[in-house]
Amino acid sequence: MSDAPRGLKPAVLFAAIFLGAWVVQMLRPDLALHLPDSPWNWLGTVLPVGCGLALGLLRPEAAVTRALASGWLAIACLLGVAASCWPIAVFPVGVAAPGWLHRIGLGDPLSSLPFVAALAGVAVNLAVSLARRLRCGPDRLRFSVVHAGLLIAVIGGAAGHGGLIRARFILEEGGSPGDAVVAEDGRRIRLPVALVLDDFVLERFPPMLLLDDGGRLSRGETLLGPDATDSMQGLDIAVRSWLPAAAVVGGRPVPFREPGANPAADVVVHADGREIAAGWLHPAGPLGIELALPLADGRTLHMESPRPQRFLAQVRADGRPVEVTVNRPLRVDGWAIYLLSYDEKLGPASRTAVFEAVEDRALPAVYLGIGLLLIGVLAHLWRPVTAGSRP
Amino acid sequence: MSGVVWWVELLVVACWSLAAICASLAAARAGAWHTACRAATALGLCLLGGLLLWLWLHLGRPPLRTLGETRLWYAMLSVTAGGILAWRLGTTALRLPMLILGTLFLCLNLAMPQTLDKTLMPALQSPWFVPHVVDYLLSYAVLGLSAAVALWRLLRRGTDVELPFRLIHAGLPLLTIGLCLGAIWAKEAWGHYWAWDPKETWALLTWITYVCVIHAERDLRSRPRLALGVIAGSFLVVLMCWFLVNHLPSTAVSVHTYTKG
Repeated sequence: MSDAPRGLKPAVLFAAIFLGAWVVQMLRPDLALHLPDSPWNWLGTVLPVGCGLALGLLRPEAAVTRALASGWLAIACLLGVAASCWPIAVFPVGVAAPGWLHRIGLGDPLSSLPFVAALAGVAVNLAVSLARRLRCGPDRLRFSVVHAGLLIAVIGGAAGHGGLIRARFILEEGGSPGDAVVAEDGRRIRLPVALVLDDFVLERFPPMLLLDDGGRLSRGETLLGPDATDSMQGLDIAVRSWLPAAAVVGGRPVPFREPGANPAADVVVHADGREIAAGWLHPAGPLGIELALPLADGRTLHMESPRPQRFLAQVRADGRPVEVTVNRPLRVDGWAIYLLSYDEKLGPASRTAVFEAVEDRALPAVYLGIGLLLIGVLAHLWRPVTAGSRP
Repeated sequence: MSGVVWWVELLVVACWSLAAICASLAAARAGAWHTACRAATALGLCLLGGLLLWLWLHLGRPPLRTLGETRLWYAMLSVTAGGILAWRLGTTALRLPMLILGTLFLCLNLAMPQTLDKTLMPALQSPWFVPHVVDYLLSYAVLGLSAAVALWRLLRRGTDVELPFRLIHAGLPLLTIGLCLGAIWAKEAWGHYWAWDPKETWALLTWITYVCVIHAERDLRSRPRLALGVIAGSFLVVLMCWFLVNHLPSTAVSVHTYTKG
């Protein structure tokens, strides 16, 4: 053991605690740890971290401080986080997690005892090591900024999770103004504004061709339109007639100018310069059946349903007209209201829009942490890139 | 369009293969081979940069949506980043790994020709899209170089770990920046800066892997063979996060499914 890495003992001790926590979780698979609501969530996260900071500042050279700040403890805690959260990366946890995951105590990894133990270990290790090294000098400064940023982001994220309010709701065009919604945890809450959906708009890309070769699908490259041409799998396809909005009546597409109507194209297909098929294509949709074109060699040509290009909701917030789109939420009094989705079966004919209102009071702390982390890693990046010494 | 892309990729592969041969010969005899290597590398880079610019203009969107498009960027960034780092660090040891990595990823595209189209889903139409994805690809390129150098030295029974660690010290900050940019973008688009989506979780596992390598650096340096093995093996997690996650059952609930294809 004489050449064992320094600081390995606390890591081994943590590993024992982690495995113990895992055994407890396996024995009691229904055990779920959740942070309490605000303000107790802050107490639950800031208190252990504050103790760690105090220990690192007041007793920087004590054996326990050195143990809690060791690099190997950081590795052990991070590996603990990885070991307890990996099921989320592999299985659709919460939807169809395999039964054996529950049996090994990882049916709900994020509220499991081993995950919480590992995350607490990371936070305490960060706090103690940060406090020990809070001295000036370029190297120490880089270390301090990165670790302080990470610590603040982790505390903000963990504590903020306890006080986070999230409520999903649906608005229908022409509905009456409303500000009462049901949060994720079942509580009834009031939004700071009453919302009315005036109009939901979905703009779509023109459709593309789809070739079905015995179940193997190949997509064309051209967005279809009047006189469009495309080549795929040895076929040359040209559009002869184009209906931008159509419905199928008696097996033939006819112009039908209604929201949600899909386009139709009369195409001619050539292979080796010879015409092999011609006919109408129309994707299946809420307003009509599909028209596909069977080819002589057993393949079938389809028109793919047009893909969404942009969707937006024109709403009135307390009578004031605003536009909410993906990537541009409505922000009111600490709340952010996001446009998530719509009735995808109806597409552009959808008269409803799905929103999510989120109040996250800890967000400034998380962003402060992320900002510090970014500054710190940029400083770290500068060093290896600009160092001129020959490796 | 995909036909043009395929032929340009083939030309770049030819340029960089030639550059790799020149680089091997330059190891024995300096002079003209060095110049030929630089010229062939630069020609390949110009062709690939021109192709990406043409695709961007022609598609009317950043060519960063599909796996095939990200491989094009990866090839360009691994050779560009390798060249800059080799110049800054004053080493020629990166020349072959960067050319091999770039060529390998272009060969993947040649073997699996992609279809290109102009569609871009609404969530990706954000100013965060390009910086987030390009930064991630740059970090993958630098970490890929570290793994390639480590693997090369491991196979040749080398024990010098300085360069692979230097590369990780450059790649990990880039990985962290990508993670932070992704979190800020996710908050803007969906209201969650961290939603434990499978792709996000793999990104965290990748970050944890390299943070652990950095924290163990001092001890690993005293066991160079183990260090080289760990550095080479760590890149498997990057590949998992980038490609292989799409083949896991968790992809059914992922909001990052647009990276398929």
